[in-house]
Amino acid sequence: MPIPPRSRVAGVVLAAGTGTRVGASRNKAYLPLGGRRILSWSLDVIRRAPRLSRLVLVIREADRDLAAEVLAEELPGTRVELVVGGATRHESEHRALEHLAGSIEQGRIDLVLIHDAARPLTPAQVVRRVITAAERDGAAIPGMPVEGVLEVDDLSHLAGGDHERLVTVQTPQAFRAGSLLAAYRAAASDGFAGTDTAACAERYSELRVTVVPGDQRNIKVTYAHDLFVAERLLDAATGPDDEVVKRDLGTHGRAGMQPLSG
Amino acid sequence: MVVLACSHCRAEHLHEVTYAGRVLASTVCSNCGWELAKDPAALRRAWITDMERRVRTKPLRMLRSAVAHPVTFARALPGAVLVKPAQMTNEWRVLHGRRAD
Repeated sequence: MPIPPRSRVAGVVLAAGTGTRVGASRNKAYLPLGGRRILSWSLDVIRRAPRLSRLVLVIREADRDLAAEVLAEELPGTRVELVVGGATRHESEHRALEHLAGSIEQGRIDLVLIHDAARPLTPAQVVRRVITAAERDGAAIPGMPVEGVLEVDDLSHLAGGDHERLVTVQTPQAFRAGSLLAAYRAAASDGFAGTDTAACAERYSELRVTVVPGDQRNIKVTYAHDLFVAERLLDAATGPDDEVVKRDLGTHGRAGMQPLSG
Repeated sequence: MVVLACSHCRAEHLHEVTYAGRVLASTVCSNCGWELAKDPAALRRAWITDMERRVRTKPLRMLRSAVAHPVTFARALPGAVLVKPAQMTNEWRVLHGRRAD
């Protein structure tokens, strides 16, 4: 059943396990990029989502003070609810959903939008596309066609096959809130931990996930060189045709960003 | 130090990420030593552009901070002034190819 087109959306940004798998290192979501932290760019993308009613940031306990400081400096006036995540992405998502459970069960949230903190450059139209498709179909994720992929068998021979319909998955991903919460509760009682939100939704709910076009700029900062690419893209985004930063410029201007230093 | 994937040793390892002010300067993989760095001339150009922006917006940023949190601002100001020379020295070192302290 389609969700009414005036759905209320909760945004969840995941920053609990972003590059912290080795030792007690710093979380890469807090690295500066183009004048503010990666995390702030990602939150800014989601806080501009249509019909957003709540914004949740999933953090690790050790980052609580830093998160509060960054939010106060770089997103002043934005109400962001902090939730401590778990050991895995799946567990972090489940904790965020349980945090929202009251509103979901009372019908005050229709859709949940889940986004990686390490994707700071998501264009606004990708967010809109995902929400529109999820309102219509119940669940939607952005995907990019995979090019130049061939299957190889055990003997390193080309195995053929049709790969034209393969996609790489991006975020944000949007889901009907009640179904997603029920899916995570069912998965928890089964001991299942999916690698991403869509995997759990498909396995434990009636939701069929629709893939909408993603965007090449919507990179996830994973490799060291991604930092340089993301910085260049942010610089380029000050041009007239980009929605990532242009909208930000329209409100307070790049020059008006809060300082990291200086 | 932050965990990033290294395109040279193809695994996640701690990386040292260096900035000249707010401008990304270099990354070094702690496992294999693979370094990615901006061309020094490009780094200096980017730093100058960013520095102009920082200087231009400084009065407004200070004013906003003083209005929003006057007590915190007043308490932090002396320390911020004292560490500024060290900050600038570090930025200068990075711009000229040396590691920040």
